[in-house]
Order: sequence, then C-alpha cells, then structure tokens
Amino acid sequence: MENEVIEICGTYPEGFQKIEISSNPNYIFINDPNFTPVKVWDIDQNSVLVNSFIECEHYVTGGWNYNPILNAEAIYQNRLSMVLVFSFAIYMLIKKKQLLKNE
Amino acid sequence: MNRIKINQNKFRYFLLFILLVSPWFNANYFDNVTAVELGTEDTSFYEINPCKVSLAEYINADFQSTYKKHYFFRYNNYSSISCFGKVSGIALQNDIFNISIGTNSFINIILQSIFWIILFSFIKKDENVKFVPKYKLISTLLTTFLLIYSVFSQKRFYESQFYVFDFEKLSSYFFLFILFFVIVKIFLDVITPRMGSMINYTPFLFLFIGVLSGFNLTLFTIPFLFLGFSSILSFENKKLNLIYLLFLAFWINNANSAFSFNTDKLRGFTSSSFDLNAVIYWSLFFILLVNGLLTFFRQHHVYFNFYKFKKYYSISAIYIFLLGLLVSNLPIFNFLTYYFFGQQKYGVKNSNPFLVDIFNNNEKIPWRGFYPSAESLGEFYGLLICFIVYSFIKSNKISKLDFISLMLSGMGLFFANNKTVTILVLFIVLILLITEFQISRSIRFFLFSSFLLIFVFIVGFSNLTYPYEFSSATLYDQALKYKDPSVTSSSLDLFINVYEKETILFHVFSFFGYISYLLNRSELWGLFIARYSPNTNEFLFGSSPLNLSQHYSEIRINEPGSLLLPHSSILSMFVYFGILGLLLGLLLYIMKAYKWRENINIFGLLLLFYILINLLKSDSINYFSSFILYSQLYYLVTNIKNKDIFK
Repeated sequence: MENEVIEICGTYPEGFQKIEISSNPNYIFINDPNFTPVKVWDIDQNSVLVNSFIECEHYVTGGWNYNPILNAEAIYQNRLSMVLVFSFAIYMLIKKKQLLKNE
Repeated sequence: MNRIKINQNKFRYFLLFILLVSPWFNANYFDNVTAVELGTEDTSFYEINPCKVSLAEYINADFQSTYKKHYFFRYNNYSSISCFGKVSGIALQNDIFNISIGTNSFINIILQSIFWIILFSFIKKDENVKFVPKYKLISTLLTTFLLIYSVFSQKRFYESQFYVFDFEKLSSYFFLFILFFVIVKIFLDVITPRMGSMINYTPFLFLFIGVLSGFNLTLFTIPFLFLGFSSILSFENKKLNLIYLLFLAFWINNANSAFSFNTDKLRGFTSSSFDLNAVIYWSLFFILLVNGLLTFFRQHHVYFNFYKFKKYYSISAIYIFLLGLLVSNLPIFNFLTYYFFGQQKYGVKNSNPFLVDIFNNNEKIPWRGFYPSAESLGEFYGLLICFIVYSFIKSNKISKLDFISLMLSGMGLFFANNKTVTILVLFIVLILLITEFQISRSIRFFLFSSFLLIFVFIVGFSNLTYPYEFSSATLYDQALKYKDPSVTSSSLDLFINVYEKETILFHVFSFFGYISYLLNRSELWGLFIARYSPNTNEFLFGSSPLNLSQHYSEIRINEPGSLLLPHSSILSMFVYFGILGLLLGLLLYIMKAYKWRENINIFGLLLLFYILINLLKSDSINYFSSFILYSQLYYLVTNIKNKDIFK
C-alpha cells in the first residue's frame, strides 16, 4: 500500500505521522499550498480532489486507489493475453490434427 | 492438392490485406466526432480530441496529407491499446505537420510478427532437409526467457515504449511470457521446415529488416537464438564458447557503471544501456547468435544456390530502390513501410537523390532512401553488381531481372555516394576481366590506366597531392577539435603524448591517420579517439558486444549534433572485444581463409577482400542484415569449394 501512496500522492513528507482520522468524524483536512492537488478514484469511478498529502494518503489507504486509465489498460492487456492463449490453443489443435492426418 | 494450396495462398493474401488495412480503421464510428481537414495553422480539433479519429477517417477528411511533403506521420508507441491506429496528436513545427498515430508496443509485436510469419509461410517447405534441432522445447522456452530478460535488462528504453507496464511486478512478466512464447513457438514452427531455403533468402533481410516497433529487438534473430541454445546445450563449438566465457567474466566484472544510449538506426541490434543486466543480456545474445549462425550454416550450406540467391538479391535490390523513391515522396508510404518492413528509422524525407552540398565543393550528399544507412546500402548494391558481373562473365548471359537490378544498383550506389565501394566494384570487375579472359597486354594496360584514372577522379586529385605529413595529421587534428576542454579520453591522451614526444608509435598512428584521410574517415575516427577512454581491462577485453552506450556517454566531447557512428566495424569490434578479441577475430578471419586457400577461387578471394575493406571503413557489423550477409558469404567462401558455390 505504501508504494501505491507514493505512486499517487508522491513521496512521504519528512517526519510524516499518520493521524487516526477514521475515529474522528469531525476531522477537517487543511489545504497544503505546497501540495499539487491530486484526483483520486474509487472502484465505482467516483472521484475526489485532495489538497494535502494527509488527505491523499487517507483516501488512498481507504480504497481510493483506483486509476481508471491504468485499469482500462490492464483490462485490455488481460483480454489480449486471453485472446493469445485461446488462439494458441486452437493453433496447437489444428497442428495436432494435421500431424495425425499426415501420419 | 493444388486447389487446397491455391486456397491456402488466397487465405494468406486475405490475412495480409486485413493486417495491412484494419489496424488503421480502429475507431468508434457511432460517436459525434468527425474528422476535419487540417487548417493552415489550426490543429486544435486534434488537440481537443486525441485518440478519437482513426487514421483512415483522418485520411478520408484530409487526403492531401498522404502525398504533400509538409506532412509527416509518426508512430506513438506510448499509447493505450484503445488508441491504436488513431490520431493521438498533431503538432505544427516550421510549417510541417507532425501527425502522431497512436500505437501500442504489445499490439505492434503481435501484428508485425503475424505479418512476417505469414510472409515466411509463402516459402515452400524443404522436403529434403533432415536436420531437426535438438532440445527443441527447452530451447524454445529459453529463447522466450531470454527475450523477457531483454526487456528487464533495458528498462529505461522500454519505460518510454510501454504505455502501462510495471517493471517491478512479476505478473507483468507473465504477460510478456505469454506474448513472447506464442510468437516464438509459431515463428519456429513456420520457419524450421523452411530453414534450408532460408540461406538463399538472406538478401531479403535488407528489405524486411524485421525490427519490432517499440522494441529493441529484431524478430528474425529468434531462429538463430533458438539454434544457438540448441547448439550450446549439445556442447558444440566448445572452444569458442570457453574463450567467450573468459571474456564474459571480464565484461561482468567491468560493468559497474550505468550509461544509456539512443539506439537510433541501430535499434534491434545494439544495447540501449550499459549496466550489469544489459551487458549480460547482450553478451548472451551475441554468443547465441554466433552459435546459431554456425549451426545454420553448417546444416544448410548445401542448399545454397547461387542462381536463386542472386535472383532474390536482385528482387530485394529493385524493391529497396523503388521503395526509397516512394517513401521519400509520399508521407503515407514513409509511415507504413516503417511498420510493415520493420525499419529502424523512417525512410529519408529528402526526395532528391541528386542533391549536392554547395558548401562542400558540391560534394554529393549520400541518399539512403528506404534503408537506415546509405553506406551499408551502397555495400549491398556494390555486392550485387559484383555477383551479376561475375555471373555474366561466367555464363555470357544476363537475364532481364539481372539487367534491371544492375542498372538500379548502379544508380543506388551513386545515390548512396559510397566511393570506396565504387572503387572496390571497379577493382573487382577489372581483376575478373583480366583473370577470366585472355586479354592482350595493351588492353590490360588500358584497363589498369582507366582504373587508376577513375580512382584518382573519385578520390580527388588534389587530395592525393597533399604532403604525407599533412594528410597523416588530419586524424589527430580532428580528435583535438572534438575534445572538450574539461576532459580528455585516455586514447586521446595517448595520441597527444605520442605526437608531442614523437615516440615509435608516432609512425604507426601517422600511417593510421593517412589511411583515415584516404578513406575520408579522419573526422569520424577522430571523434572516436576523442570519445574512446578505456581502462586496461577494457582495452584488452572490450566492454561487451553490441554495446556502444559506455563509449558514447562516458566522455563529454564537443558534440557534432547528431549520432555519428565510428564508421568502422573494426573500431566497433575494438570497443566490444578489446585489442585481444579484435586480433583474435582478425587472425581467425585470415587463418580460416588461408587454410582453405586451395579451394578459394579468384572471385571468393575478391569477396573476402571486399568484406574486409568494408569492415575497416563502415559500421556494417552493427546492422543485423549486413552482419548476416557478410557472415554467410565468409562462411561459404571459407568452407565450400568456391567453384561449387558460384556455379
């Protein structure tokens, strides 16, 4: 998860200490002017703009680590693998059939 | 049976057509986005709508872009799969439109491989070939793993080519395994029963170069890597492999720094980086290639047929010549040939092959047309001219095909402006005429005088009149010119020392300088000296094969602006294998020919001379096509009775 936070939110600030936010419903995130706002997505493709590293880390660890672009590409790659495996299986079957025929 | 064959061929043609056309139609035809013609200075539509319009839609809307010279189509491999074949952006620079077409490296490897595999399948299977490679499955798997390792070892190159790929995740490599394994297996299944014939098809490697777009890999190396594994597992070429292991140990020990290299026109046959993994991969690649080639030649040299070889050579030469004209005139062909012929570099933009440099005594500007290197192309044409002339002298006949290819090769050689090859071809023709015909002394004298006159004309009379002291120092002067004030390479240090103190090496270096001057290599070899900075180990053993990254990145010099290669395969070998490897290689080259001397005829000898001179002054060894062609010719001349080869 730590790697994912770094990938989406950037490197951890020096001396970063995780605050228990979930147990505090009144917690208000403070904007960090030095932090470039980042858009994060959840699995249903809802998005939210986060304005500080603490906020970003909180969302990402809470499951808002979904990247629609990366995910779409991963789906395409999986489909491509499946098509390849399937085509290869058919190719091997045809080859085997041809070999048997030649014998 | 014939009917089945015709249907099979029809199906193959149909598949080829689909592969050629369909990728560029990929788009959503039900959305509201309609392609528009490019305005004079307005590219905004395509900036707002990237990856929405297919190339076919775009061409339909703006057909003039396919033939007007201020349009350039370029592949953008760093695109998502869904963006494949679509316009991903258009940039206007100096009144030139650069139209970027989205492609994806993973789709490229599938499309291009299938395309070339189908082309291979047109070749008739060899019915008489009994050679079955040993350890077939293991070698196939090892070849696949090696290709995966090629990606892992050159992450920096592939980071800019793979749109989404996590180099740290094992599952990513599983995806690569599926991709490579399927391609390797099918390719080997198709090519193995045709391997005997392949020995006659090698000139086609200059036409179908086979470099995969988005990869630093040539598809046609796969069968040789496979044969290489099979050969090593069978403990063949033990001596060679043992000596190589010794070199490998030094290279690995030496690979403790990291450099990267823009592969440019060498892509597919050179390392993109210098670090431990890249050194290991390219070292393995090279020895496997050599082992594979040796097995290939040993097992299949009997199928070499000079007539067929010359025929295919002529066909390739004609196509390369015509494609050169086509790609330099029509932007859309420039784009498509890059993909379907597997070029390392786009065809030349300049459509005038007669251009001269008015700032340099109206010196003809080399024109490379379709091929990435004008110099290697000149060698390719020159060799064909020699083959046709030899065949004509021997048979007193010339076919229409040979005649056309002879004419076009002559023009191609002129366009490429390879003066050394022109002189070599004339020299070979002269020697063949003298040895094959009973010629009177007066005609001999006339022929020799004519050759000398042409030689002086090509080299330039004024160039031969300068004093030796001046000509021999040009190399040193050029090296100093490119030296950066802050750092000096160890080889230039040596040169400075030798020239200042005039030690015994001074005469050796001066002579080398004079040769470089005659071959018009003073600047390029001077650049090499300014760059080359080996430590003792590197000087003795080199820094690993097919790796120029360290050479080009270690020492800062006054950059000439573009990638200028050493223009000498001997110097490249010096970088790769050090002085020991180079001397050993040259010794083997000469010894093998010497041992076989009684079976080498005059044409074989001239071919060896042709190859050696070109190795001295061109980068041929760094191009897969030239590497294979020269290796094959050398093997044939030094292993088969020459009168049997060139029948």
